[in-house]
Amino acid sequence: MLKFAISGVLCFICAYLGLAGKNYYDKRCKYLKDFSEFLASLRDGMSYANDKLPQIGRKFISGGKGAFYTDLGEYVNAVDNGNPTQEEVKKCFDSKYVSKSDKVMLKEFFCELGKFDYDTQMSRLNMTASQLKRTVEKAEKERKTTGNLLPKLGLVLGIAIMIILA
Amino acid sequence: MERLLSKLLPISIFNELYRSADLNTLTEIRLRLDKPLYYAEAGKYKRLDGVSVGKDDLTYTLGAATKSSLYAYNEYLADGYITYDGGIRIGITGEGVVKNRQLSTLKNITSLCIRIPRYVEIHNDKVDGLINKFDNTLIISKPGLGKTTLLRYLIKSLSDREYNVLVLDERGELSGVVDGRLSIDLGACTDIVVGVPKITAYSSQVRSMRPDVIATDEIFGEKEIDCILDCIRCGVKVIATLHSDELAKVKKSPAYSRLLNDFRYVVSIIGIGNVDRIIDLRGNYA
Repeated sequence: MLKFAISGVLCFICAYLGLAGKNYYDKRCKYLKDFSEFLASLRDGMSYANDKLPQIGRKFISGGKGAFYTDLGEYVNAVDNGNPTQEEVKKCFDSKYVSKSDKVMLKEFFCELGKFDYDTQMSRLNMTASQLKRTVEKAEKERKTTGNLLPKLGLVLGIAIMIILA
Repeated sequence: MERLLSKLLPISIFNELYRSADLNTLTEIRLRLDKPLYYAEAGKYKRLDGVSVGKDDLTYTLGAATKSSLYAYNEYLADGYITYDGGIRIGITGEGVVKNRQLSTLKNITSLCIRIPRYVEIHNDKVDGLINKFDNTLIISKPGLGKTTLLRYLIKSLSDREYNVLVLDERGELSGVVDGRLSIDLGACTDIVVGVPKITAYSSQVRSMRPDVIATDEIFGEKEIDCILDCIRCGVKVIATLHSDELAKVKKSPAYSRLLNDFRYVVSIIGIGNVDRIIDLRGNYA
């Protein structure tokens, strides 16, 4: 009976870890897609209304929810309170849902945001957007393959443990 | 103001300033590269010992002033100033960047002149008399003596008497409007046009807003004089300021002397809230 209970708990843990893995891939994908949408809204705000960064940021934040929106909110507050340092910017986008390379991209982009004239800023924005497009495609692919596989693997592993213990 | 300055200035400079200066009377802060910081309290300059302004300090202040949105300020930089929250105006000098033979922006900033606006209640019989018998009024003085402060007071006083006052505030300095938020109360009957070139605003807003009074700061150039004279011809009263230390010099200028045919009062001031005299161009001196 004890064996059965232990194997049941282990099976549950394996399945849970599999789901947590899937959750990471889902959230990462959403985070990067939200970032991509923000770039589009930044491009519109900069070119059409010549809006300043806090205005564009706040308008964007009001339209959605998620980890990126929360991080962006922190960044906008930091900008509102003065001129954030590189460390402060890094801290704003230190999300557990994105990889190290994603964090580097986010930090570089937001540290340089608003430090250039319009033309240079647009060209940097376009460069980040094209880099992000490739990253989103890759993240989406990983979500579909690895992300969807993990819960199944977790469950199979759990069942295997149950069988072995039985 | 303390909150705004703490956002605008690097923390080390703000702390020193906070210790040494009276932020309630602070009117100007001057940051010059590799030079000591100077500030003005009620128009008097003082040196802030122990602070030398570095490149990082200028970069930080400019970043904070533009709210990390330098891309939105190209044209303002080319004009040599930007406006921050609360109507704080920041004059900028640096190296010009020329594109297509036109100044497009500034780089390698070397000096920032932060001017802090104040709304001051002016208790003065001469000024009260001017408001009671209001007519086209020109305020003249040298820079930094309080023309804009008096103009703000007149705008609010006239607005409180239910004149529809249209403020043409190209630089956002009179009203302190930044990002659509008003930080200086100019009265309940005041309409404010911010960021629109004055030459455009005169003709379009006179037709659309039907003002009783138009208020504008720092008249400059013949085109603006033509616009003002047109407004007066339309029956709109005008209050305006002009850089000049004495009326005689205005009279000598072929361009500016044209204003004197249509303006009734010339107010000459010698300090913030300190009116030297009000000249009634129809013959009476106050």
